Amino acid sequence: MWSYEQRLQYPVKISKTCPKTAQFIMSQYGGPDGEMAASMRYLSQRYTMPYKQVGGLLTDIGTEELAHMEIICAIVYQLTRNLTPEEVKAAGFDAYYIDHTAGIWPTAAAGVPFNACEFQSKGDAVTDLVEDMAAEQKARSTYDNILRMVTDPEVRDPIKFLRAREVVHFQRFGEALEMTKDRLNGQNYYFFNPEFDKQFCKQK
Amino acid sequence: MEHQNLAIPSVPMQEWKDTYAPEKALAEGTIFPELNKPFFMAPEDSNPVLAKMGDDPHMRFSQVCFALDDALLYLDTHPDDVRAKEFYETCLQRKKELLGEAKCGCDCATHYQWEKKPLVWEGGHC
Repeated sequence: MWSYEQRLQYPVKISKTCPKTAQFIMSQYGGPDGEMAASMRYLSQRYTMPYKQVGGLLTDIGTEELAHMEIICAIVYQLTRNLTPEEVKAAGFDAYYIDHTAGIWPTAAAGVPFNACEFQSKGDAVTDLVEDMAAEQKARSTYDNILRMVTDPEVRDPIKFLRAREVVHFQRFGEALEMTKDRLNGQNYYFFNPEFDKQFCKQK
Repeated sequence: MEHQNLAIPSVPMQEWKDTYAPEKALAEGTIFPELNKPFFMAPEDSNPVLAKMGDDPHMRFSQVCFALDDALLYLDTHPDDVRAKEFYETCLQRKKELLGEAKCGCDCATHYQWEKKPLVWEGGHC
C-alpha cells in the first residue's frame, strides 16, 4: 500500500521553457537507466528475495525511485509548458510533439519507448543485487552526461540532487550484498541460488 | 561483516558518523558527508531552487522528511545502530511538530482540496 504526499522530495521550479533539454532529460523517466526502470526493478525483485532485510531495502529504495520519477516528470513538464508551434519546430521537439503534443510519456532520449527489457528480475539474490549496483552507476553516468549538457541552474539544481542519491543507493545495495554473502558459504557463493534452493538457506 | 573474496564484489559497511544539518543535507542530496561525491562538471555550491523556496515551514518539513528518507535506508542495512536509531527518532518527532505548524497538504485532512493548492509539478509545495 502506498499513500501520496503532495510535495516533491526535492523542489522543481523552472522559469525558462526549453524543449531541447526536456527531450534528453525525459530519458531519466522512460529511458534504459531511468527512474521508472529503477523503481520497477527493485519493486519486482523484492518478492522472492530470501532475506527480509534485503526485500525491505528494495521496497524503500523502490519507493524513493517513484518520488524521483515524479521529480523528472515535473522537470520535463516545466520545460515544455506553454510551448508555441514555432518553439516546437525550432527546438527539434517536433517528432515527439506529433505523437504526444506536450503530454508526458515514458521514452528514452533517442525515442525508444519504455519497456520492461530495460531491467531484470532474475530470481537470484546475488545476480539481482549486482544488477542493482550497476543500475545506480548507469543512472549516475546519465546524470553526469546531463550535467555536461545543461547550463540552466534551475534545471541543474534538482539533477545534482538526483545524482547524489544514486551514489547513496549504490552504497546501500553494496551493503545488502554483504548481508547476503554473510548468509552464504564464503568458499563458494555460487554453490546454490538462495532465492530458489531454499533447503540451503539460513535466516539470521 | 565485509567478506573480501575473489569473483564477487565487496563494499565496506558504512559506519554512523556526524551528519549534515537538515537544510545542508537536502542541498547536498545526502545526510552523510562521507557519501557526498560531487561531479567535477557541477562545482557550484549554490542551490537556486532551494534559495527560491526560502525558509518556510514547508521547506523545513521537506528537509526533515529527507533526513528521514536517508536515515531509513541506512537503518535498513544497520538495524541495530543505536546512534542511527536516535537520529531517526529525533527527526520523526520534529516531523510531527512541523506538520502541526505548516498545516500543509501532507496533512491528510486537506488532501482532496486540489483546487485550493498549487500542484506539486507546477512548482507548488504542499
